[in-house]
Amino acid sequence: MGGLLLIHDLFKPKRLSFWESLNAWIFVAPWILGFILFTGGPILASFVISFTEWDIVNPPVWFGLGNYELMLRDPLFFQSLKVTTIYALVAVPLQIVVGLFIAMLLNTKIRLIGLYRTLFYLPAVLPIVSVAVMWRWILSRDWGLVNWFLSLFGVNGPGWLSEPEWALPALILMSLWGVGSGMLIYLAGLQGIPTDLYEAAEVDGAGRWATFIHITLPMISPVILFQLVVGLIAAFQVFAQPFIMTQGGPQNSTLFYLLHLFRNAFEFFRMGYASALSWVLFMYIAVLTLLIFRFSAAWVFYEGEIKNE
Amino acid sequence: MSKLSRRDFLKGLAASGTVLSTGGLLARMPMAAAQDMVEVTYATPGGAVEDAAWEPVWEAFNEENDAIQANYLAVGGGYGPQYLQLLQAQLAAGTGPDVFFVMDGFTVGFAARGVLVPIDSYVDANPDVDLEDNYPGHIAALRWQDQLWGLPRDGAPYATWFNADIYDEAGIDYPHGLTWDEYLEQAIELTERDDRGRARVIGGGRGAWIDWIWQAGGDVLNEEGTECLMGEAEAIEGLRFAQSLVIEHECAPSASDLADQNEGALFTSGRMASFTIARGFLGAVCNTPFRFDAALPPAGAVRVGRTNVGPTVMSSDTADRDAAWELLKFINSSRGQTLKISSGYAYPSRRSVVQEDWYVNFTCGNAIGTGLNTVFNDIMENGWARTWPQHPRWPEISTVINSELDALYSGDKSAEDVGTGIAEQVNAILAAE
Repeated sequence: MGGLLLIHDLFKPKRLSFWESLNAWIFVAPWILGFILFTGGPILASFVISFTEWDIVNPPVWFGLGNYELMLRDPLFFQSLKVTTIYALVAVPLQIVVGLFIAMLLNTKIRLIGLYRTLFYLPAVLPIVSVAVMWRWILSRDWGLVNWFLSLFGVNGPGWLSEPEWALPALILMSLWGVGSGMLIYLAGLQGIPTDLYEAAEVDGAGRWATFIHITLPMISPVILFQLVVGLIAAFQVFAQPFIMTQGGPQNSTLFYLLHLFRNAFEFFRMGYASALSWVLFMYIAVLTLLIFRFSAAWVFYEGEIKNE
Repeated sequence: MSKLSRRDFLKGLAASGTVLSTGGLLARMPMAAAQDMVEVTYATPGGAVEDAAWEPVWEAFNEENDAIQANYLAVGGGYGPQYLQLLQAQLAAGTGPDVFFVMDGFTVGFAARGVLVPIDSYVDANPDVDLEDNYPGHIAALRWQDQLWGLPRDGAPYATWFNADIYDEAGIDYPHGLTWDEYLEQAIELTERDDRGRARVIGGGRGAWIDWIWQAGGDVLNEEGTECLMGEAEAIEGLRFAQSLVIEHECAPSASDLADQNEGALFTSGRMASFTIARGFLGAVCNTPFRFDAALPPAGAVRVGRTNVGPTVMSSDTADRDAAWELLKFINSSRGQTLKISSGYAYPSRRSVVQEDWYVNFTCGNAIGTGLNTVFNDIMENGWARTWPQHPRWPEISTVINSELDALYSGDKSAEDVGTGIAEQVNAILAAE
């Protein structure tokens, strides 16, 4: 951002003196260098590497579009894409609904509300490795809390992490553990809604549901859009949970895209193929994000905006 | 206080940077006295216990070699892919170690990519290496395309560890050298599950999948490494037996049992009567409250089990191959292995070390017999141990196999389908080679 502002300033009609420009460049140099060396450079490098065969230690060999062609013949590529897409399509909306629901519960003036907010946010700051290990036990078929709870209703719970049909739902369920961070953003959004809108609705005789649908939801729709985009990107980058809890199993039912990419890069040393996988993922996320923005005009309302029905 | 102008501040910043950079460069310049000393680095995953076990090795090496300084590099990442990732990054950056440990199954991959130095000429020029003192299987596992690519730092044949308390309670003889049928009978008798199928005691571990294949007379790849044999009748027989332990007889850990605890944890927590692993497991089993010992693993048509090797190899990027060789030689030597293993729990790759008093008389915790010292030697001397198949694409092959084994152990696929499925997928990998 600093670099963009500087570029903007530099091209404004009022020109800076040489020393002022130099000073400015010196102060933003750490950010620019850091970006080029550690972000922009590797991104460009990975694009070039995706057209090569490279095992890290030997010089890369040009492979043209070979890695992209290989992808079309790799059943695990499609499996990992399917797993990750299902996860994103289910987990992200679920996180939005639950996060918003909790935020609304916590958007009240009751005693110890600060404590409740802290408690709901707390899981979001715990290290993912500890959380994953803990959830392995919570989801244990024989000794886990989830199945114990189900047994109270006479339900014999499944092997959440050991049965192919349940492993992905288990990880989706576990993703709700981190809704605290989203909840905080919704809470901020809810508190930004002018109270006179609610007062007007009350005067008009609107019920709680109608108030929620016609005032709350439209007013925080920009926040939901933000959470949707950020959540989608995060969902496509899930790695630690399957890596620690299932290693992609059973029977590749939790083979997330990044796990497949990681294996190709660091277990099979196929850096070219892994780079190609990363670019396909990038394009996939970019297209989905653009689609969300494209259709957001229909359901996202910005303050002061008048939409034509 | 005078106000510091922006220009003065920047000048000061530049001056400080120059001073710091110069200081850094000076600190990196080797001292004149140290210029004659060659430094060689050995890398391994490391960890608190392992680091301490290596300490006496470096002390002795550095004491005996005036011109070579051995450094120890605990790369981290554990004995898994993360270690390889870190190692690869160092090798690619040109800052890799001179001598390093590679996990079984990866040596050939490294050799094929030109990362390693073949050491035949060094071995030929150094009769004191005494290759014959190493178990032949360990040396054979480090040969590929008629060249020797490293030496073992230790060996790790797999034997069956058993919880003697569970066997005594059930009034069953300890599992010394059982046949498959006897093993199955014992495991069924020892298993206790409640009415919901939850295991209080599991009769035995699943065992290494490859052991069942070998014991049935099958194999994973043909000798040339050009064809997968998992679809053959013998391999399918091994898979069928492995599956029956879990699905039909429920006397080995189910997928759910293993989702909670791995086999090692099931054994050390007293929930599993026996399981098969290397002698290095003593580090965990010595601290258990129950009595234990090691026994020969079960035998099918053939008595055989897997052994790891502890491949120690020389980087082709090393600046001084002669110095690196001296370190590699020392790590493999009887003295090097004695220094390392006498303070740890691994199994030596050298027969002479196994005959030493400290090894023969070793005991710990609630060990009830001498099996923990004798069984591994019996396995090696009788040729009952085999090493992992050697193939440059073994990591991919192994990933395919593990995925299919999920279906085997969940009962979703028959042994025939798993065997032929593995063969089909692995042959596709081999064909792409």
